[in-house]
Amino acid sequence: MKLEANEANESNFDLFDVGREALAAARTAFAGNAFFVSARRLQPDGVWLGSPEATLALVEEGTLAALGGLAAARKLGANGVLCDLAGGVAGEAVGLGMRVLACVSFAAEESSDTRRARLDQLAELVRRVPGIDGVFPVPVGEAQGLDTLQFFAACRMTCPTLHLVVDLERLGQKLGQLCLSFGADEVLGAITKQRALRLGEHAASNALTRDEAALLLRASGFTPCERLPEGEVQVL
Amino acid sequence: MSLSAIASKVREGAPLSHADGLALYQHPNLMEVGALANDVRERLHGDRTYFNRNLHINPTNVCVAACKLCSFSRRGADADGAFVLDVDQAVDKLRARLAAGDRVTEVHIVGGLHDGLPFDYFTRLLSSLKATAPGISLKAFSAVEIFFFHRLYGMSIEDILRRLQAAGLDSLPGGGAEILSSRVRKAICPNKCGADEWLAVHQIAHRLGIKSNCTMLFGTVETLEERVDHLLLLRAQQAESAGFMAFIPLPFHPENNALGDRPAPTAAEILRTVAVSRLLLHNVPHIKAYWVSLGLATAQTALWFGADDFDGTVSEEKIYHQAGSLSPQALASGEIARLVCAAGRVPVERDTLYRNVAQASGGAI
Repeated sequence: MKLEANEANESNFDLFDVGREALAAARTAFAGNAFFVSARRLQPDGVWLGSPEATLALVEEGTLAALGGLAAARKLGANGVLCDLAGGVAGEAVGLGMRVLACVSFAAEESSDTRRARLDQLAELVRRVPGIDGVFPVPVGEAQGLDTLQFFAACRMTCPTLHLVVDLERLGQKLGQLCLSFGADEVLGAITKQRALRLGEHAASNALTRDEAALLLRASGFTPCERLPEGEVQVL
Repeated sequence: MSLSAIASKVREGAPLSHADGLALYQHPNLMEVGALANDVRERLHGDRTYFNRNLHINPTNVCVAACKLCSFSRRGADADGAFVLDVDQAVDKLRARLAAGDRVTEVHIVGGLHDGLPFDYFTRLLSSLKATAPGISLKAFSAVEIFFFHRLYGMSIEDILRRLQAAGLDSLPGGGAEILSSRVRKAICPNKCGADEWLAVHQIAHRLGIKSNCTMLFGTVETLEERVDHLLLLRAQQAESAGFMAFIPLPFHPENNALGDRPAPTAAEILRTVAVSRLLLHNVPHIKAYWVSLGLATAQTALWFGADDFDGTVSEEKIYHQAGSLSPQALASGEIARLVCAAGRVPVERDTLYRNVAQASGGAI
């Protein structure tokens, strides 16, 4: 059976042009390594969401007022900050030795001008606060597949040397892993040592084991590295 | 074999070898493998991405096969959660869709291997659905079911197919292939028909003018070599009988089954398998990104890794959702069109045989 060729591609968009450049930049920035880290989050009421054994204990800048400020969050155990693009707390958090990730939101239906303006704001924040360690894209509403990948690629090209971090809880494991081919170099989420069989009450468990996290990175062509407490990194 | 050497063969239209298939699976750069598959996809179909309006009906989940990979089946008619639809209930599902103004063009019917139903249950099911909507296409009963009917009712495979065809059967779905290897089948589905028998059913169907699809369930116990073997067996069958319309790669879902300690294939592994399939199966027209199984984001991305078909509106999908699929149970045709457009592709509504029903815009069709 011989299949006939069809008409040429009718649009100018090329997913691979977008991805190749971003992937190459990520590989160059981190020498082919990619990272995973177990994380928990501090809620405005002071309660932690996630395992107490998590390496990264994050607080969002928007919740600091309710918590009594950065120092109070530190006392509760926070060692990382998700700062907004205004970056009011970023410099102080860097000064305290906390890991700072710059949150940049995106929505599937927004205009390219709106998106560009936000990425410009990100670039400005990163210039202004040198210690920012990574970029943390945050979808507004339901994340769409290819739109998310394109946004990650744009973030990588905006900040080529910073970590570009995937929130597995927001994006899910599948889309999260695809981001690793579009400029991301780190995944963050509930990562456990072991998981029970996917039966009964565990059937819908979204927890990722360390081995599965490493597999996500390895299957994307990276050398997996786990972030450990005290800033250490273990190459797996 | 380097990727550039494989790319030369692809450009020349030469069939890829087993070694080529393995090299594609093992190549470190997924994006380059995907780009090569995308070249083939665009050469065959341009930006066109097919979908249809379909309804899934599972007549029963009672099944004697007890496959380790399955989350859907129940061992006996009295088991908790077991069901058998009567013919009227099945017809009512179609009537409800039609009454809602949905222009369904296909009913997809697969079910368990129930040893307590008479053969005329299945012929009545088909003829009643056809009588309800004479123009509708009935894609029914995997090769595993057909072979089971052959054994259970003591008729030849050809007789079974002819009788079902007379009752309204138009095409066969591609399920039950799993991995066409006796080692793998013994491990995950020992009571299903064998690889040769699965292929024989399709060969006979094709000879009778019944088109079909083919699948590969990957991510259980098989090796990469066995995946490539599987694809090459399908390619050889297609060279002989030319009746496969589409190949559908199906990642294993581990929830609620006896293989639940295994991780599901990652998105990268899924996309690679889609791409390798497109490249190895040069004689199968379509590669389907079955969104129910892949998930929406992966299926959308797969449209750039060799897939040209998004499957359909589905509704009532049960088999993958019982195995933990997080995708919706149905998508409106307009939503499919929007997802396809957002991927930079052109949605085309098709019928079962890939004839255009309408070229869709990003909005409602």
